Amino acid sequence: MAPPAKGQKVRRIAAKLHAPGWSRPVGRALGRWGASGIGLAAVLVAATIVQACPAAQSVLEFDRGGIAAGQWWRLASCNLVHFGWLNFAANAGAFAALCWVARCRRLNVMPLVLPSAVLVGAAVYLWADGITTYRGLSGVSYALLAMLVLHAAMRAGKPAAAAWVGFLALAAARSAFEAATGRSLLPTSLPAGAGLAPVSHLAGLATGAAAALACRILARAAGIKAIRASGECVRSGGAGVGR
Amino acid sequence: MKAEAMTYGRRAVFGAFVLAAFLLAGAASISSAAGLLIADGGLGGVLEIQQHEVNVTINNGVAVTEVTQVFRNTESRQVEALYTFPVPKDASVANFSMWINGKEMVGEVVEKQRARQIYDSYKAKRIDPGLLEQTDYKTFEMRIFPVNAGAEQKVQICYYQELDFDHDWGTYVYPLATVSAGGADSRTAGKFALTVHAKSEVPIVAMDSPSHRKDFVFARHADAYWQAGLETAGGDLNRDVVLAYRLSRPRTGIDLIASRHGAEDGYFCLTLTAGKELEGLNSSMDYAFILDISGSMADAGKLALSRETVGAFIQALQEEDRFEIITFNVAAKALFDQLRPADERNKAQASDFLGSQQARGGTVLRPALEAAYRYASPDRTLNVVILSDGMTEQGERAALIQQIRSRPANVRVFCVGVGNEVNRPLLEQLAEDSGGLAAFLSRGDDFQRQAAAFRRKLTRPVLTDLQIEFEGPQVYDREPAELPNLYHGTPLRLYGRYRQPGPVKVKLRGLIRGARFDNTVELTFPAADRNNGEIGRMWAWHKVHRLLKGADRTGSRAEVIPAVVTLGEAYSIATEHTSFIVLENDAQYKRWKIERRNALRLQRDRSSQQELQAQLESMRSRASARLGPQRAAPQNLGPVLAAGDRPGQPQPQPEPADRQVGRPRGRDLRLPGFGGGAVGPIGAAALGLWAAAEWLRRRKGRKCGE
Repeated sequence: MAPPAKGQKVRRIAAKLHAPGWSRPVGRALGRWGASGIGLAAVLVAATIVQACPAAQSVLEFDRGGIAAGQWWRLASCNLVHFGWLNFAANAGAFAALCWVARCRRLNVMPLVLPSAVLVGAAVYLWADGITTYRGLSGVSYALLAMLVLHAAMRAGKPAAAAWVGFLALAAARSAFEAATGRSLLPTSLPAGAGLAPVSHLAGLATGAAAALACRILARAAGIKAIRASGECVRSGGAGVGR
Repeated sequence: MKAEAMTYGRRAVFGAFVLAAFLLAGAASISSAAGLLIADGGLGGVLEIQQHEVNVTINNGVAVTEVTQVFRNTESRQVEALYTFPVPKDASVANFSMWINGKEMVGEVVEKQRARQIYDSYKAKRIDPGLLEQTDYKTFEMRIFPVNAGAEQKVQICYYQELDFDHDWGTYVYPLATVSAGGADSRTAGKFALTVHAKSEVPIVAMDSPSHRKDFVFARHADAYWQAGLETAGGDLNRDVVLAYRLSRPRTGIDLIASRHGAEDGYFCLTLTAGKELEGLNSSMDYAFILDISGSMADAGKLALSRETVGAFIQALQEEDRFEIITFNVAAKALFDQLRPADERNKAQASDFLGSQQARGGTVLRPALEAAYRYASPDRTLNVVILSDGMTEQGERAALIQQIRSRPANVRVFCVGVGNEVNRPLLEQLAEDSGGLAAFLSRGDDFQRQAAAFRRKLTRPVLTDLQIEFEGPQVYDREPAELPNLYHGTPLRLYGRYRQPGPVKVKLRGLIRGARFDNTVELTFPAADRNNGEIGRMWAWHKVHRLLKGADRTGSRAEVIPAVVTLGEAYSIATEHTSFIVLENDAQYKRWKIERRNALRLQRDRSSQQELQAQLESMRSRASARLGPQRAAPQNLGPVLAAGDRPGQPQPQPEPADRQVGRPRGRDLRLPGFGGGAVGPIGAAALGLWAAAEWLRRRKGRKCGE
């Protein structure tokens, strides 16, 4: 059997990223939430278990010394650990809300979670020297936010798209300001003694934006002109294909 | 050159430290006559104080106090003089000299019973012996015989002590208060002079005397060296002299001072200080106040003191803190039966509850402590604060110590000794065993300020589970072997010995807010340092103290006595098992086969002191040289006084770091930075609204579809 043509392969990847259809067989087996939904719910459950289990926190949190000693999993797992229940509630709530928005918009964000978690941890490791202990899911949430906002912008008309992009730019500017000044513009859910790590938010935003743009490029390459609100892909010069 | 201390802006912090000074010194300084020579036997009486000179050198938080007193026998008979001398808490008497026929005879330390036998044998022959013994944990007695009618007797005592630090203020107390010696005349007929030289690796930024502010003169010669002096003639010596100075270490770090003579193994003292960057590590906590309302608390207004103290503590709590009050005599009783937030309503209820307490019944602390443990929860630290005189029933003490050791996780026990008569060793042991702190309140303290200061410590055990390791076999005999928690404003000291000079890697591990940190710093042990001779004695004193305390816990004191005597004799330390004896001449020492170790040690120490004084004198001279009209442009000097700047008051410029006494050997620590990714409440709410809007949109779309 001949290998698939390059264009076919790209189209296949684009379709997988754009539509939750790839998970449908599993989804049917698992129920109406699909594998993606189950995956996102598993992240929340894991974060809850970690929060309730202090012993696990020390193994999973971002520990600069541990990472330097080869405990690479901490780069990703630190996103599951929080500074107290308030910090957890705010971060997990935001993550759940974003997952819901993604589901409503039929955008599969599950593939973004792990890479963004790793990249957030790596960004803290590389660019936040002063932080030896990092915790929090917000970096991943910022990645989802960026992807969702850009996704919405790509689907909206020009004025609305500008508003979405402006909103995202504002969020990025805020994080940049916080990174530059070292102080938070808005109240955070962090306890006293723990500082905000805006570099994680910036990394999340960058990852999400990059993912959204990659999807767009891939979609264009696959000949997908637009995606309808129903999730239906509109191909250039043709009818909707797949969802 | 005079530096007056204290601006109003610093008063609040200073107040806390002053109170801590009284707290920590209170028990030692008020209960007994200080430095009084009393004719023992017959009609009694007090020998007149002709002269009283005190020379204090504070070297990196260790004070060496040399007291020289001249007494005159105003009795018309030959007497045996009994000199009762209370020394501050944790002080180590290191020398006792008396002048016999105009010549100073230096005492030697020998086993206590043997010293007493020697003394008694001389006393029978009516020739000059002197004996200095420790009578309890804070009082020394010196016997001199004979003091002839109308004769003068000069004595000199030297003791070492570590200063108490609270909120960066180091406090030195010279105990003078005399209340218990009936008819004792505390006035000095001649001169009373007290000179303090304070030098420190960590810069000194302010100095003051809360007790004798008007009488003291302060001079700042360099960041590392300050001087204070007080001199009166015919003054009344019925008040403790309290002197305090403030250090400023901006970042958490380790400072090293060392002492090494010739090829001998050296001694070192590492001081670990919490820096300003850790001040933000504050969190809400739970408090269980255990208030002793037994009959013994009725004495000297102890219950009233306790009530005021607990009330002040509770007023100082923040709303997110939770608290409970448990009272106990023969039975325990709780106010709320649960932890409640420290809001105005609960504070008022607590105040009413405290006001209704009366002192009666016996003292059984265990049920109250057991009840307090039930308030512990895994996610918050519970501070159990016991306010008591520690006069528990004898049979309960061992069980109490056991109960402290088996406390739940996240529980720390703090003991506040109330009143001047407290069972200090028990309360200290209870607090130490649980990683907490002990403090002691006496009348006259400002409870509001004291509560605030103590709370700062309660909420800031900045570093816990500390472990320190030295690379290689260079370091040995560390004291203490295990480090306690580090609290904000209260440095930790670690003594030890080292074999070879040179660099050594020091690895410090611990927890900050439950997060691990691991730091390695390189320090250099000097090949020779003769300026810190007191470190060796303090190391030995700590070892003696640890041996005795450990033995008391296990009830095996007899096993450690030989080691204590050996250390006491080797390092000239008067303890419960060793005493100083002064004999008439060297021949008498030979006769009793007593080695002149202390005489040799004293000679060496005095030589070191002279070198140090020469360095200090040189610094004084340099500072003085800047004054006067010879300078072309007078500099606007002075402003390093964080507290007490006086506009227009000329003060010396800080000494360049490379010319200061002692080369700084400190290192800052790189402690964990806690960073969090956090969506704030506003962000979370906004995202929630977006999710709701999407849900509505979706629902609407479905309906349209239908």
